[in-house]
Amino acid sequence: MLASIDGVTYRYEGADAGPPVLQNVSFDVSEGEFVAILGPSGCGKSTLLYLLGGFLQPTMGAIRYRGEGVRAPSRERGIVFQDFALFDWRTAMQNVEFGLECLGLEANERRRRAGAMLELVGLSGAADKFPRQLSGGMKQRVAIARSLAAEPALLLMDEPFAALDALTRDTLQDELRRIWIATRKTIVFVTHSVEEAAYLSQRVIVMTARPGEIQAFVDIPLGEARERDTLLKDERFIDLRHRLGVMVRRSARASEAA
Amino acid sequence: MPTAAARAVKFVRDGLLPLAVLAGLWQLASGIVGEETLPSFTAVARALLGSALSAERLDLLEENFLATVFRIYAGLVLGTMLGLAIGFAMARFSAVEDCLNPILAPLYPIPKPALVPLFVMWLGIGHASVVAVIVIGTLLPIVVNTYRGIRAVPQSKVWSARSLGASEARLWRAVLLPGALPQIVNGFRIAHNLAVVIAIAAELVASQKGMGFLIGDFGAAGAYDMMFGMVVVVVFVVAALDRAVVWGTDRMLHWHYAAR
Repeated sequence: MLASIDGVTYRYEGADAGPPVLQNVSFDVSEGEFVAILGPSGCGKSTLLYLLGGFLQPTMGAIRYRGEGVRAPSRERGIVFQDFALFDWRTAMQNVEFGLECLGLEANERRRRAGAMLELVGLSGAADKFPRQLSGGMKQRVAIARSLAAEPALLLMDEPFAALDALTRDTLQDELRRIWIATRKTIVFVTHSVEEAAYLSQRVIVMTARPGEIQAFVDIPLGEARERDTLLKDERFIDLRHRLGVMVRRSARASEAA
Repeated sequence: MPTAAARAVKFVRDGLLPLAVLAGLWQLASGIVGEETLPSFTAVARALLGSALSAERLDLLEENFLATVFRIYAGLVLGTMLGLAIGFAMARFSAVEDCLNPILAPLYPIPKPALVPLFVMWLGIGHASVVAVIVIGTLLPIVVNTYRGIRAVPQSKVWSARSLGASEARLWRAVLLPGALPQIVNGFRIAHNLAVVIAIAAELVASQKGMGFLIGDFGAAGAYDMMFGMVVVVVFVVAALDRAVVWGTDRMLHWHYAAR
């Protein structure tokens, strides 16, 4: 087992008297697994990801990574954000090199590895472009390459494709499937899109709205070779999408009524 | 890329034409209120041209011009370095932040030239008191923009750097400083203009040298055409310096403004 969340409750510090963001959440993530965390906005799914990353500390409960308590961020656990979080003053290549600089690698070795990562995400031609000169989809590819270059065992993805247009989103989902199969990274992927969760992951954790609790674990037994156009007509996929959709819409309605 | 002809047309239309209109209005106004109240454009132009042809006058102008430039940049450089240090300390250490935050707000609106007599009392007439007031004046915009700029670096960038293995020192050097740079540069542009204003104002009262002193001195001697001439020179120099700073910093921040 790579990571475990054990009875975690999270409350904002200070005078926030409302219900906790997360309440008594427990689940495990196995090595090599692709897990999606699905829920309506405000259900604390991003907070859960930040706790796994070590950026936040739980109010109650424990987060463990390879059996040890998570106290701080680590290069073992990479993260990709919805807003890309690129360093605007660095070229695509230099962004990908950042983690390698932290490792103290020499310039040649850095460039070789960063170049390979840019190739993996299909961006070799844009190595010398600055983020401002890239489209949203290209920016997110750089961010993914930057995370992977630091060779994390666990990749945390915080609604990474939510800011992209639908077609770019489809393309990047396909790319991510390909990268996951090629690298066998463990991925925890936060999303509010039912279809995205079902298409990408092996297992979906469905959350309720605030307080965020686990509503259900849903396995996605669709195998590894997934082809979007075939899958969209596949009865199993249609059924999974329907089940997940019913659950998410129910908790979204409950939170609006509250 | 516009053609050379198109650029020339644009230069005449956007650059020269407004100046010509201004000169015309000035000439007209002078004709109405009289040469004693407002020296005419042609009188001032003649005085400036006369100065340009007189070696003695040119020496006088050069000496005073260089004194002012020295003071502006000595004060600006010191104020910027000090301001960066204080702004960084405020963003880094909450104790410094808590201590300085309540002090900064009331200091900001103080008209800095009002401090000149105080510094003359302490440091006497000359370079030191003028530079000191410029340091005080340029300090605040740098401090505030450095502090706010660092604070405004998105958390996602900071967290990304941490998860990529950045040490605390690297986070500051390689993420927070460059991330805050566009706003620090904005502070520097404000400070640069302020430095010029303070230098001229301070020299009017606290110096026997400098463009501010010359303006006052020509005025006291009744040479109103030269007094106005000095004002015109200062206006053009200030505008040119400001353009130079904008040009330089835009290039430094090309990644911030880069087009697709």
